[in-house]
Amino acid sequence: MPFQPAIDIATTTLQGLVDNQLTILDLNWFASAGITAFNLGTLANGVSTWFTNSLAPLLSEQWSAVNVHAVDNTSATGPVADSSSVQAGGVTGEAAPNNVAAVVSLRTDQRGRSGRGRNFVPGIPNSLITLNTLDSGFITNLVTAYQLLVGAGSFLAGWQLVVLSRQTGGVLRANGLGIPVTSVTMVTNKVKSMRSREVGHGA
Amino acid sequence: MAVFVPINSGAQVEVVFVLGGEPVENRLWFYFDNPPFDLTALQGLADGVYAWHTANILPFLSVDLQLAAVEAKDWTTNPPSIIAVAGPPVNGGVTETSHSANVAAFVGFRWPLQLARLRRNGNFVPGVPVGSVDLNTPTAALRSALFEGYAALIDAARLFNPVLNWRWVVTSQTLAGVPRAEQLVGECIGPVREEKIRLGQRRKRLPIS
Repeated sequence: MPFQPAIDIATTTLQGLVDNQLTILDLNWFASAGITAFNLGTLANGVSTWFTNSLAPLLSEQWSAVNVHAVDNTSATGPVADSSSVQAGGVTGEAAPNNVAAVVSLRTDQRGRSGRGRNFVPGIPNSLITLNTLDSGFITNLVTAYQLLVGAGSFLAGWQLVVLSRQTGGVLRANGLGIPVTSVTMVTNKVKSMRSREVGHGA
Repeated sequence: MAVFVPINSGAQVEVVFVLGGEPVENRLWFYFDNPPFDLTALQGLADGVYAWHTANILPFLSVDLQLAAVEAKDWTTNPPSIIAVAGPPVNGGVTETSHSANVAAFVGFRWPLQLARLRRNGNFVPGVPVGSVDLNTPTAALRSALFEGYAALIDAARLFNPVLNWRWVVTSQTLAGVPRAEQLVGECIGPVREEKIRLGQRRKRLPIS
């Protein structure tokens, strides 16, 4: 696929490890004053702090945060930034197998698939799953953590969490479109699956 | 809808479970040496598989898993002319919670050597106890139990009623992506070796939400 610009939108890739398999959570951000190498670094550091201080404590000790990688999607040659995020999960005990995930839904004020994003959160402690059902306290804590990211400039000055829409009607847009995230929810209290995280699949 | 591909003098056995309120099943195929078989023979197959599973596989699975029934269907015609069901329901033997329904232990079934390159058959075994998996790896004890359990089916099948008639087989329904006129069958020579038994994913076994 050829490069598709998304003007003033940065993607942060939150990288973690569980059982030597890479886990990735992508979050997209709109920069109200444009993207520079400096503010991209600030974004990477801010997201890294959230990753290690807000998300990692909810996950199993067998999972660990590793790094946050940020890229400017404005052009194919835009700046990138990295922020080391080494932090083991904060919950003692075994994690569920790698394909088991909790799905956080990122909602906007726009309907349709283009207006929704998702994160498949890995490293869920077995102690917080009863058969297919996630612990209610875990769900509350996870949604609370993600809500810290929502709002124009409220997580980090000059940045707003968005859903990045690259297609409309099944056709690529000329430019990726960032739609502001207005709320975070978990649609279900059941676990979900991410096959590419199984050992031997994907990254 | 999938095309029906018959096995002349063959039967499909569905081992039907309930896990977390959702139906889950494993399928096995059997061949009858002296066709045609009747309802009595098919009932012997269903009862035999029920007895084999409850003695050899289910004791190593979580109590959260319930084997609801075993259903054997004549696979020479569609719809099947005769069906036999065995029960009653029985739960897994390990008093420990199960991993979620999208986690299963995959046991591959081996083709006879002359057909070894055909697509592998297997069962995604549900109801894996939490303590029987180390992160992503089934414990040696579980792998050994599943290997021995499925290996026992080779001999057990020969003693299903009427004795020395049923064989556990693996099948191929397509050739180069096209449905065969009749399933190709080969006598199963057992499960893959223990270290090849691994975790697999069954996403559709999760409740719809």
